[in-house]
Amino acid sequence: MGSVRWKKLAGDLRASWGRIVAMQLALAIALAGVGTVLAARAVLGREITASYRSTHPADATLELAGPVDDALVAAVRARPEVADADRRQMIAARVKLHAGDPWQMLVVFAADDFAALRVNTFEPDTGVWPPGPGTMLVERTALQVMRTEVGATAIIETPHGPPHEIAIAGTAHDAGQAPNWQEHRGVAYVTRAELGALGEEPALHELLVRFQPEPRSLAEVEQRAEVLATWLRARGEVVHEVRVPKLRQHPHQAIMSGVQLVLLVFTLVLLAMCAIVIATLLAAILGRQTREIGVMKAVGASTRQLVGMYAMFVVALGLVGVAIAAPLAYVGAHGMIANIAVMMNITLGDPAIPSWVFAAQLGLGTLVPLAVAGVPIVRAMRVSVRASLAVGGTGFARPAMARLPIVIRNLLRRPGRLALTTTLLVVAGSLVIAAAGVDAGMMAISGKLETARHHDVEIRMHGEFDGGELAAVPGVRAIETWRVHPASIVQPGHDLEVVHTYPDGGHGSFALVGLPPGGSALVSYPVLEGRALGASDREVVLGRGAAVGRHPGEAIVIGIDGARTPYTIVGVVEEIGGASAFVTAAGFARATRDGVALLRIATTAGSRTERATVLAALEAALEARHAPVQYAMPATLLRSIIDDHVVLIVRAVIVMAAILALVGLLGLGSAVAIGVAERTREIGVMKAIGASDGRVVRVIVGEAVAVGAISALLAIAVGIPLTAAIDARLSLIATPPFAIAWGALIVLPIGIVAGSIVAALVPARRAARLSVRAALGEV
Amino acid sequence: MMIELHDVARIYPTPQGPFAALDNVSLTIDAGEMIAVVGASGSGKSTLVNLISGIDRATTGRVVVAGTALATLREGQLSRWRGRHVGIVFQFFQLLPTLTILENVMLPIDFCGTLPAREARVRATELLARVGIADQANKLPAALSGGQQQRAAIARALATDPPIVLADEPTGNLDSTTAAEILALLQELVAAGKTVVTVTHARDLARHADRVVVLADGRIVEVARG
Repeated sequence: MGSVRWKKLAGDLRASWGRIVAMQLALAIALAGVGTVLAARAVLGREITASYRSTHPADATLELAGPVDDALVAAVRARPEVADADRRQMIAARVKLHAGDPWQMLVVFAADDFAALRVNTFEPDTGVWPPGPGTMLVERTALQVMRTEVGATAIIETPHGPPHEIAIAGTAHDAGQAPNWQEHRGVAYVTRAELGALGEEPALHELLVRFQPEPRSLAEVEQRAEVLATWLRARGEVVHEVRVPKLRQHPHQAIMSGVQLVLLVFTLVLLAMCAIVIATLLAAILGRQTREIGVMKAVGASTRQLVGMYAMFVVALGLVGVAIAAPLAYVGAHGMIANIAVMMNITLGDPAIPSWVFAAQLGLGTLVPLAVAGVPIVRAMRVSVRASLAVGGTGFARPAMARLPIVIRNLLRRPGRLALTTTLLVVAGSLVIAAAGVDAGMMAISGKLETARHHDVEIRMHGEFDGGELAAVPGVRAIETWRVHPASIVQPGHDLEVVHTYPDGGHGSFALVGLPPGGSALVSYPVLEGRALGASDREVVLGRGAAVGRHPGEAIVIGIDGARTPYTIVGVVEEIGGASAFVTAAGFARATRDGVALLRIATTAGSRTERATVLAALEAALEARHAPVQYAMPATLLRSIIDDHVVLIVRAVIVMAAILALVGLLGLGSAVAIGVAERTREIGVMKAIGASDGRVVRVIVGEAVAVGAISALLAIAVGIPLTAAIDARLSLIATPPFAIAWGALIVLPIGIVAGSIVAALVPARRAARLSVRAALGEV
Repeated sequence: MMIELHDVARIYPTPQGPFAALDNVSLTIDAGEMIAVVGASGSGKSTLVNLISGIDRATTGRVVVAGTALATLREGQLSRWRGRHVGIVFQFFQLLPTLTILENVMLPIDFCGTLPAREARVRATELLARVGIADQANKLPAALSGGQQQRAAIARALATDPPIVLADEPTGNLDSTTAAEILALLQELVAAGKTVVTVTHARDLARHADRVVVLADGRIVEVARG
């Protein structure tokens, strides 16, 4: 028994098919979005970790003054706290393909035996393995940066050797390296013997160690590294530096986490918005059913039977939604996973989406509609039979509204629905504004460089150098010599200086940076806290990336090559893409006599070509003086590096904002259609007393435009502070500067109002075309 | 006694203060009686019928119908009770627009579970034949005339074979010929042993009732023989 009531439900649903389709669409979009993000999070969370772990990343790298020989490696491996140990040598070199080309940065790793790598391993990808004499392997993502191919030759310049020609024998995949194109520098792998050919000492000074049992925190690693360093020193070794990168974490994990956080937040908002759309539509469907529910109760239907009928409908809606969304999410997730895998330079070992993701989708797909439908269903059931048989269904205007314009009075007849529709549009609109603002801010991070830096070329030497010697190079307008030394912040109570640098020498590094004598005219970092350095200052100002929780007034001990120098923090400045402690020349001298020169050069170049010419002239001048260069880069390259790091987040934000906007308009269209359907009889009365079709359309469209315009203004009012709030929480390379996307501020209201007109036009025209008789006969 | 009302009042709160739609009404109706309730608009006729059907609840006083004190039933129990004991005929028919006439008649049986599906179909078909619209069984309500729709509504009211039929202005929306046919149908019900209470303006209908209850301002001002 039950066929009649289900038939009634089916018939009612057919009568409301437009709304059912809209609900189904909203639900499918939300579930597809949630499924995609959950699946991508699950797979990437697993695979990034697995891929990075498959390289057996070193927990700590100890750089020794002397070479790490077989006996030492064996002795270290034999220690109880050491799970495994290996040796390596990293050289910051430069590469170019032809004599006239500009140099590019190249990180060269030298290893002993490519067949027996045990820590920080990399895999053969293409070509010859291991590289023979006179050849090297490059990371698979390096070919794109170097614009070359396997089999070609390249010219390499190391700190101690002259430019040297070497063939690219093949590629390797090193899942521990961020994609080379993102860093705008290559990574190469050579044998120890080849180091000698490159002009470097054919010795490996870095001891790579993995501890056991598996360390659970960075502090644990540091403590064990300290024990090991003490033991090494007792054996007569000199430990230059101890590098402890983030615990078994990919160097770009923070960016990835940022992307996933953004996606998760947007997805939850999306789900909430779709829930609002469903609740609005369902309330409208049930609203039209009020009288029939009353009749059914009058002929003997119990509340439980009726609740069961509508709950079954909602569950069916959810199941269909899941059936549509699951394959979309499957395709979407695999697309996202593949994309991010490329962005993270990982190989997906197992791209399978865990079954709990589908279970979660199923659960959300049935429970969320049930939860949002609960209120309107229970409300509809609570209406007494007497009230439901008398229901008019169009809401009423309170006497106090008489002074308001008729459009507003009409809108206020259903204050609950007005609030939901406005909320929907304001949430979607403000997120679109915030997304556009954050995008603008993200892309402006590199623009921040230009306000802080007034030089257009940066050259880092391998040793000391006086930039004044280059002042006469044609095209040089101003030149400053800064000094840099890798350093560490010594933790109180610890004997060891630990830096958090990754094996590439870049990620996680910290340096003491000395301003040129007399201060800098070319760089002015914006002060975030405290003050900037004074000319006679002997204290320190920290870059934001180095400050992390430290504030002006606090003491800090900076360690360089075993020497500790106490400083007081006087300020924190916005430094983009690094972690430095800035000191005056006098302050620098307190910590060390060594350091490498960092030349900041302002040129007279007005174009890229002119800048390249000046850079080439500077390179020639340095070569003539036999001054080895670590890197020389135009400011534009730094901009590209930064932009390429934020591109992933920017893309994610744009895609999500677009989906939100779509759902917002879907909600508006639904609300307008519901309002029109409910007032069919009223429209009949309007026409009966002489309203033209055009007038009917204008009244309905006018109401939708009013909602759209009010929502757009509110969206702007909410979106701008929201932009600032998101900016403040996103700090991957730097806090994005607060930026208003003016384009979005103009396009959004136009888009919402245009969307409102389009959404209202269809139901308005349908209402206008109704005959008076048919409209008045509508119950 | 099929229906007993003892000192019943129904008071609605309104912005202007409490409004007594029914005030201190007592009435007893025997099984097999046909009662006509008449009075001016707003006199409390529909409220009286709603209280008997359990669609509305008395503010004070006792309503006992078919041996059940309605105040003792919860809303859910009341629906079930109504489905089995009271058939209601509305002025505007209130057929469900997406169900055929036959299905409309089967619906109360479905909700009350009084018969299996196949028997429900047979019974609904019989009832439609009894009210003279068997040939309309598979049409939707919108395809029927007002008189035909009201006949269908009467058939629906009889679906679970309730002892009581309540009709609120059953002929109010019909022409005189059709109204006479509906009246004849209601008389047939009484002859078959049903207790019929109708709210009406129609003199004909009142004339054929066993008793006529006249309401004014929520009070019974006269009970006359029909």
